[in-house]
Amino acid sequence: MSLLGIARRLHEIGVLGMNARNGDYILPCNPRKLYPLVDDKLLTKELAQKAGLATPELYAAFQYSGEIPHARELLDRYENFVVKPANGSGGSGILVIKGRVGNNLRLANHRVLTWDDLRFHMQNILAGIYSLGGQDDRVLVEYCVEYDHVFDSITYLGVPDIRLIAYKGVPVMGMLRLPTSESEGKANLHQGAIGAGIDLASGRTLTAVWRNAIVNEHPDSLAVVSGVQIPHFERMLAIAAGCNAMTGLGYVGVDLVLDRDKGPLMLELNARPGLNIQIANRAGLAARLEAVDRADAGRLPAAERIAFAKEHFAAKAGDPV
Amino acid sequence: MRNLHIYLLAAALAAVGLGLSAYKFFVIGLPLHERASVSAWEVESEIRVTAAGGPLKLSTFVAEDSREFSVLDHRIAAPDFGVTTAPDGANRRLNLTARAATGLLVARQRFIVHRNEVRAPERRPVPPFRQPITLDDTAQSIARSLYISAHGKSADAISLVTVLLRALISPDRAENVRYLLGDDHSPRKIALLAAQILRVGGHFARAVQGIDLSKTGISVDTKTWLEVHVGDRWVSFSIATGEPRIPRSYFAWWRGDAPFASVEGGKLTRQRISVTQVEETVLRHALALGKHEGAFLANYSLYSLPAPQRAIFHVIMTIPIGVLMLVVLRNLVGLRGVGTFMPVLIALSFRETHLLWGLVLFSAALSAGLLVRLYFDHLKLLLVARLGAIVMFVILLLAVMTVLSDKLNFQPGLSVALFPLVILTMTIERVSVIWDESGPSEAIKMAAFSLVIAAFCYALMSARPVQHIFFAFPELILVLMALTLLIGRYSGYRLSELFRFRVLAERQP
Repeated sequence: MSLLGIARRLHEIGVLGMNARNGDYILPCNPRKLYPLVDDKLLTKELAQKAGLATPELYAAFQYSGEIPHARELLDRYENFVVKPANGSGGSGILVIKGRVGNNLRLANHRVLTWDDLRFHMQNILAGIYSLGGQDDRVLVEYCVEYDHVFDSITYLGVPDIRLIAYKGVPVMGMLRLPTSESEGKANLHQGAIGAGIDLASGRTLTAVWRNAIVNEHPDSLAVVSGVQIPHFERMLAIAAGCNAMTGLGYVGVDLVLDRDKGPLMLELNARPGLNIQIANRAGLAARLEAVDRADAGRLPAAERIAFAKEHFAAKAGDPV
Repeated sequence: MRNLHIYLLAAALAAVGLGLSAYKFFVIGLPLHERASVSAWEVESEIRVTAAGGPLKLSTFVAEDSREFSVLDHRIAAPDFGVTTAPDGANRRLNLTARAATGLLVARQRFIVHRNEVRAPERRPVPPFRQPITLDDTAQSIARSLYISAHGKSADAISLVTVLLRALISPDRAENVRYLLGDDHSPRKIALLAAQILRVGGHFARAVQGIDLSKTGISVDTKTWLEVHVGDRWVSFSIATGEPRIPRSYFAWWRGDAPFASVEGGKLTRQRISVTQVEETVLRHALALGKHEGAFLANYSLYSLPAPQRAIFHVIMTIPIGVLMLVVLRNLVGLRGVGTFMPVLIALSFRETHLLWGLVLFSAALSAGLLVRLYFDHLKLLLVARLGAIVMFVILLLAVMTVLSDKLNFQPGLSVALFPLVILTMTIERVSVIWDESGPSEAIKMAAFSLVIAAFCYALMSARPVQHIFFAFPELILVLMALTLLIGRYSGYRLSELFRFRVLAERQP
């Protein structure tokens, strides 16, 4: 197919490009001054708690390097925990601690970390090495999510998460992100995780995208990733539908995890959600965003917004489910 | 609505930019290519004097701009003389003096003459003043009768002069004309006489002496014609025809009856004027003409800057084209480099190191910097301290490389200025941050992309025609701005997205 043909076809399907995402949706819908609310995970957590949304429990937060030496006293009581930069992007700078090896810490990828290593990592976070603009950052230590057993065969080492894109309070597209050996347990697509589209009507997964290609099996376990019913999907849709009003951002990516005990937890928000979700769903975002605008669905009450999403953004017949 | 606003703004910017450029191109004649050439004339006068030993005074005339011509690069070479100039009526006198000169002395005057495409306003509108009548009483009464006769046969001042001149140049001259002319029937004598007769009749008139630029040679004759003040301007009359027009190639040098050179205290042995046709760049030509086109171009263009600033702006004015290229690569093609405009800055630093050497230097320093950074990783240093240590290492590395290349005579033109050093350090910082965030392969890919983009930017920005265009027509940056604004509202797919989303296009939804 010629390049022009591809462009025409993509336009027909309603695929959203980077320029259109930035110029037509992010710029008009997401005021710059609200970005800190989603860029700083501590602020997002506070906001979510105020709105009554479940998030992983905060164990500790560090703002000054003078506090770092006390990290062991504060954290030794927790068997598992996650260390994150509050302003990190793309999953960088996150350490997942799963138990101990003697006097040392064990990472989720089975590597061993000394407390010194951890303190150095936290100093680096404070110095801003993982933050977007390189400015001083804070360290966030929180509950380590135990993912639901439904994902046992289709994830590798890390916690799968669910990305939902909400536009004006309407969930428009969803994706289940599954860590792989290549992504080293991280659920970020550009690090090699795979993303499976989700049928918003049923909460079942569709085929997946891995490095811009469509796949049907997890590359490590070779288990089929499509057709998996995500538990509590209805509650996830409700959380996503509330995030626009909560933050004031009109176009937002909502990252959720499914804990086997605590159910869906909101992890973080993203004011510039990526576009690969379209490949995972084999559907165009622009078409769905325009549908929301045409019906003025953003004005409906929450329950009707979700109903609208389930009615209009269900996987089409013929899609492999 | 927002799009309409952008379109109108872009159209306005482009119209202003193109309009100003078109004005400069068509009216002022600023060339699109700096080496475009135009004909001009190089005129040289040479005066040789044999000095008597005492004080010597040599007087001649300085060529000046006129409405039709511009004089550029005026140079006087008279090593044995003291040189002064002073206004003298309609002329400017060149006075060359020496206290106790002996032997043969030479004074040369050289200049370039450009023809004005647009007639310049009179540069020094000297009000006509009454000049002396040097005829004796008999001659004056003959002159008066000639004047009255011509006056009777003409309708206005112009035809009066023509009738008078015809009477003077006609081969079967009347007795009284022959009396006045004597044996000298040269155009110079006729012009001087006509001026005298017209003065007797109350007109302002003067003889003009100059050269015919169309007759080139190492020794050309001077030409003489007549200027009469009619209305509020001087009208030139040809002596050969009496008509109120002279050939376009006549260049006026001095006015009045004085000879080209006069000497006191010595003997004029030779005077010679040579004319050669030369190819002058259109650029210099246009700038010369710009002197007359109004103060704007001459006083407020980049050309009016002192040379060091001019050199800097030659570079600065090319940055917008590099920036536009980045915008295109980023928003239309979808290529990303390190930092937003880092490749443009890298390209600028290539200017000082040259492309190939710049690429080698950059890659070497970048790799070494990253290796050291990898090693520092084990030392568990805080971010800023680590970056500081890397900067110091890069400086040492540059010093070593420069000394080595100098000792080996490897690259004589190599100059590592401060600017590339800063850029290099910033690049290493950015790349190492990407290394931390997205891994080594991403970092190396980004760095390589940046260098490739920088090389393209360098090729574009260092091209002489590009530099000339944006230096001569800085308003074209408004056009680039208009394009940038339009790209800023382009919401279609990037080229890279066509490949990224190709799978979606291939299947039926």
